[in-house]
Amino acid sequence: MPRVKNPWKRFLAKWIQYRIETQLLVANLLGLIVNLAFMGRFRPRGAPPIVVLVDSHREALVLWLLRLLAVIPAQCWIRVIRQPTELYAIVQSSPVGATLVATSRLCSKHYQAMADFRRRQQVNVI
Amino acid sequence: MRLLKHSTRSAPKISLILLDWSVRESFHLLHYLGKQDVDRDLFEVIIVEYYSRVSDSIRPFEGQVDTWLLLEMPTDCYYHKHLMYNAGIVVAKGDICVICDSDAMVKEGFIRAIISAFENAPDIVLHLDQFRNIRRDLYPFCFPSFEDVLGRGCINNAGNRTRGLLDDEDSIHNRNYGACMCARRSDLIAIGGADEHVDYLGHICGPYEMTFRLVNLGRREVWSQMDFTYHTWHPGQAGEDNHLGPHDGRHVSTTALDALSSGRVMPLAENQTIHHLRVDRGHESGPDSFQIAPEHRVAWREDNIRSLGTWTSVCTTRRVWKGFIVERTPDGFVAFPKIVEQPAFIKYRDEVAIRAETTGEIRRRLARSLPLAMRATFPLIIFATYLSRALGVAYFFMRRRLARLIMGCRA
Repeated sequence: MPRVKNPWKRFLAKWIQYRIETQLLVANLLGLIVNLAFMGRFRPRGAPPIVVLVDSHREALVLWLLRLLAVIPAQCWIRVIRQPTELYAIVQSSPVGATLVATSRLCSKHYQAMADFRRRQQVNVI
Repeated sequence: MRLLKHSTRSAPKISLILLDWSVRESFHLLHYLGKQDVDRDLFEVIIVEYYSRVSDSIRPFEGQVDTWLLLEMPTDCYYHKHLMYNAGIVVAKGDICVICDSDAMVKEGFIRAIISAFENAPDIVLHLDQFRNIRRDLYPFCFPSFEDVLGRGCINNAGNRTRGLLDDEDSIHNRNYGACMCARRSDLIAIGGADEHVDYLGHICGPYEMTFRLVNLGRREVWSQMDFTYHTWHPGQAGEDNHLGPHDGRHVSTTALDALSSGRVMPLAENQTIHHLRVDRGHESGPDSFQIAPEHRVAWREDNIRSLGTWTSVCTTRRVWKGFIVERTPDGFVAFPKIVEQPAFIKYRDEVAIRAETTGEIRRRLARSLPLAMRATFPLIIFATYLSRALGVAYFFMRRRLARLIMGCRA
């Protein structure tokens, strides 16, 4: 990012950065919620749960509340991945046959680990 | 297109691709390349100029230039670095292509380090991070010592390593992916070269989009822990007042980030010459064979970029809206949830697809297709996200301000 000396211009640059980043976060989160709802519609009764991998506790909290309100399926298990090393551990502790869903933000943040992981396991990235 | 100089080196190991779009004031990297501690025939230097300028800044170092190519793009066309990358890849004779800043400093072991890295691990894409010094008194470039560049004014020196190298949490934003990227020429051709999509026009671009697709291909991204490039301040270095393609707020292309999510290896817009090289393996034509798509000379004109609206980009046929993919069809638009692109859910596509003739109509129908309970929560989620991020950013700045105050008091 450019370093701007004028304080007003610096504030404006930071404001634009904040707006673009938050808009992207919101768009990705809403997209995740919509697609989880559709996945709930398609899944047969008794099928293994959907394991949702996110990278922030904020998103996890929102998804957990929406699960309580039945906006997203009750079969959604929400897991927060902060380090790439947690990826395999969390997936190994998930039920066999569970559908894995990861956010695009998680894929970007830990892309090397995710690229390796996706070669071994089917992951739906939203 | 004009070839001012063509390399006579028969079998270099490394091809350095340096770019200019009639802006560079200094090519002092060439001075440091003349001091490398390896045989000069092991590497070649390729200069690619986007327009037609024969730069005077290169003249003092012309002996170091092996290939000098002018793309002769019209002056009313905005610059597209990826086109220049592709030109460099096509004319390169070396096994390894290195894309780096032409106004950087490197130590005498730079070339040797790259060769060694690829000899030890052939399946990598190698990056060297960059120390950046913001002292204005080093401009115009005055060949400072490396110690001077690492000393006062250096913004990212953390114990003789860059701060970005120590950061594992957000490497995409904290490391300089454009400083120096090295990859095998065969790998770059295998991924279709650099993406010539209009989203990469202007400042939001860089070799990182090839790095991401190489990682998707299965290559390992490695950052050198011992070797770096060094950069001193000059005006316009951060791309102020440039055209910016879609980015994430911190000048990383969202189109490149989408490639990470989707696992895409091929570019959205592949160069024809690279395509032929990829498909007809072993068939190498001369440097004159490099083709520039004629539509680029129209689509990249500055007038057309200024008028870029929602659907005017020639390559854009789909958008994402609230988790739905909206595609343009001959009859209008069709939308479906992003999840039905995944193999396990593709069979549901026809069941959930929504069609309409205009963008407004398709958005209304998509909104109506969502349950009321979900639609009711959206404004709350948006508000909560903005608020929590604002609080997080405020906390971060206050903590940083407090730390500076404490350091100031201690001093």
